[in-house]
Amino acid sequence: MNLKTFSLILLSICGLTQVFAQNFEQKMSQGQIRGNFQFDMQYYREDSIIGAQQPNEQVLSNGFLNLVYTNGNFTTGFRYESYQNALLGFPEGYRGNGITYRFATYQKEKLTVTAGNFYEQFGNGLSFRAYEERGLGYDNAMDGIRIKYELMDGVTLTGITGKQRLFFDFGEGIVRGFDASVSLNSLVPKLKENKTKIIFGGSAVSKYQPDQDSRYILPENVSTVAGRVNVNRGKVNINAEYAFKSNDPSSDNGFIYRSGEAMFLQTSYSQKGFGLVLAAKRNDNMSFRSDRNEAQQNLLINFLPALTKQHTYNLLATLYPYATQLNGEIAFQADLIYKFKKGSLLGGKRGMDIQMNYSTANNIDTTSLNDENTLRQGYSSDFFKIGEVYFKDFNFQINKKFSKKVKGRFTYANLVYNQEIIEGKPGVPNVYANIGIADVTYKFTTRKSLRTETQILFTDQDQGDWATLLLEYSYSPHWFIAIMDQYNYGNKDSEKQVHYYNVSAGYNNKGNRISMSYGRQRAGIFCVGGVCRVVPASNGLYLSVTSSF
Amino acid sequence: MSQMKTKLFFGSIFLALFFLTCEKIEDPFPRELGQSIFLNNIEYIVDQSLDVGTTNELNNFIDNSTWTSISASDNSETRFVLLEEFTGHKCTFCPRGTREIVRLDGELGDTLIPVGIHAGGFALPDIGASSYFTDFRVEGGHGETYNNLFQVSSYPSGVVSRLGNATGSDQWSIDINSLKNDKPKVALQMTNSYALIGQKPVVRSNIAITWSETLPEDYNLQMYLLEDHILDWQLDLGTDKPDYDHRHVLRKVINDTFGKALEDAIIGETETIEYIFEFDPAWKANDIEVVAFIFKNDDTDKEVIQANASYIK
Repeated sequence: MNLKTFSLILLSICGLTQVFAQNFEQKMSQGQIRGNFQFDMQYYREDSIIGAQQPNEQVLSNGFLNLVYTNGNFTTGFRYESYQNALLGFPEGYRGNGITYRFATYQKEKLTVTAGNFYEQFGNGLSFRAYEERGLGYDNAMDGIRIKYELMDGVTLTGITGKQRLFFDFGEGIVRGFDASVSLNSLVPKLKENKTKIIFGGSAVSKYQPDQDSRYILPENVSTVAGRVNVNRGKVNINAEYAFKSNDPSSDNGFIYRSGEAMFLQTSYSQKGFGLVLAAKRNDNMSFRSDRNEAQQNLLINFLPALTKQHTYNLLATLYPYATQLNGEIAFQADLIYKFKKGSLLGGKRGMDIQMNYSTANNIDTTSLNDENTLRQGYSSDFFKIGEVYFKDFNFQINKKFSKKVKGRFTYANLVYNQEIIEGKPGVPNVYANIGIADVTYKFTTRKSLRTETQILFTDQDQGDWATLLLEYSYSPHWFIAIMDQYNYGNKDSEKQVHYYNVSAGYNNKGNRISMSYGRQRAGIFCVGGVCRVVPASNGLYLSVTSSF
Repeated sequence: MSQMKTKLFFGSIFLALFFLTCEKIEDPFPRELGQSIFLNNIEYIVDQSLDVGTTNELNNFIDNSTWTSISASDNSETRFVLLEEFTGHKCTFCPRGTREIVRLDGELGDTLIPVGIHAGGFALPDIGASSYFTDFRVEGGHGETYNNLFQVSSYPSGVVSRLGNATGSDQWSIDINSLKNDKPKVALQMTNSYALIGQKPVVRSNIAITWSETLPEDYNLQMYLLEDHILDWQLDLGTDKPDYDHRHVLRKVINDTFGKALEDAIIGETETIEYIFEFDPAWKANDIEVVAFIFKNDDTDKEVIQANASYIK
């Protein structure tokens, strides 16, 4: 090869590289980047009156940034998380910085492939649910492969395999799963126009974890299979699912070899101004984790929804919320929404909404088999019998607009709370509580308003009576300032009749939000969907920044 | 339509694979654990095959036979070191590992407890062939479990007192030297008694564990039975040797893959356990050794803190 030829080849390569680079740049520029950011930081002060500790670091913070790039059928992204160190109440495992979530996914015709981290849910989650609940510090994201394939019109298959996230590491077990969802109306041409819509599905999920136990022979592969159906016709919807789990001795169930099962049934009726939901659930020995020795919220493979109302008002939401009991519970819920029309006797000039809710959760019936040294089946259970009360909540809420300037929301709740079981405090009595809340907003102008929350809780048990007063002034759409005091005036220990004062202010603008607060935070329990985190008492300055684009 | 059937067919197979991946356990307790009988502050754990279920039967069983006894060395002042070697008869470089063990054994004497575990691809027997037909792998799949647990990726490999994962033979003496001068946290005394009952060779291995410290962790006792000096085929640096001297071969895991959980480690307290078991009459009783060791029962840390070994006669 002479110098001239070599130069020509070199120039061609340079030219091609440039063209390729231009094409690549052009292609990349057609994509979109989305993301969100959150940073929470707290300076802690010691406060012996409420039992608040000052950690050695004095200042703790949690932060993350999500970035997702989408270009046509291709999506990739990551999440960077930082815990320096994690805010009090978050699991200790969150320490340090790192990229904890990264993935790439593409879709080609009927096939969608994801490599890396992903969240996924089969049916109602009885067999499998990987999800994140940031406020709880809950994240059981999968790291592995997910394949979705639309086999034919109305039939979707999903296969997953991988390990679950455990803070900055992964659980020991490998999770494999498969789900099929079939829309009967799409599959069968005759039913296409039928008013009754039927979707059924099935899933099978198994985990593998080596047996290194010296006491027992443990199953290294454990599986859960589930079947479900959703029927919808006009205003009526029925959703049912049943799951069965093979023998899965674990620290949750005391290493018994009994199989597990869960059943979920929800029916609803809705029309304009009226809605009714009835739900029932029974789960028996259905804790399913990818590490049999884990506890708390770590490495859960499945999700057992709590059939209780998710309250938002402080005293109701964080003093006595219900946490799903994985080892066994029977729960029922009825939820009614009714809108009194404008001009009706109760609706008055501006109408009125009422919501009524009743939920109850009990233990399942169990009879010990006393077979610890033989088959270790643990207990027998009558499917229809109900055991001790775990939780009861009757509540109703009235929403009423009194005038153009004044509107209110009034709530009453009656709770029965089995503190011994839900909080694991041996020997403490059940809590019986009555709670009343008045939430009234006065609008000065279209932009300026004052909201007041008056809450009161009566109980003879636990910490006794509480009262809360909140005043929140908003200058929309950007500013708010609030002052709140919670007072445990009914505590039998006079030294614990403490005020929990708190002042906060915030600024919102085009997807950015900055807020600060200063004061005491009462110890409590923060729950989402029956999954809970204990929040310790604290005192200090809190800063939060969120942003999305 | 036929295409649809094909799709559904493959879909069903795919689904079935997941259904199959679970195991129904009928009996939660490992068979190897045997029958536990408490007598005079000793927990006797007797092989079920010996048909001893009560204290009377146990007394008769012991009293009606003539036992010859031998005791292991005292390790109350010395930390004995366990070396589990992973090997295979068709592994051409493995004899290098054995030679290193023999060298270390000569140097350290009773304070080194070597165990040869035949596992992995090189340990597969050639059934029906004229050479390499002997299966040296221990019954019950325990060797493969250890092989995976200590992440053996090449042969020979060995793990010294279960300090992390298995390493090459160059590392063994370094690891041994890092441990051998440690003050022991526990003393493990062993007395083996042997009797031939009918045609059954039976061993009573009496283990007395005395804690020198109070320790917060959980510990397990693991018992192995070895046969030394087995003359059989071995590939040795490219040469097929029919009478190679296989040393300290793991023949039986006496109390299951991960042993028996011990009582809490409290300074001054002694726990005495006696395993009574038989072994294959084809194994040479003169070369049978019992190995006992105590290790941390932790998912990520299985360090052996004391070990001992003794022949049975």
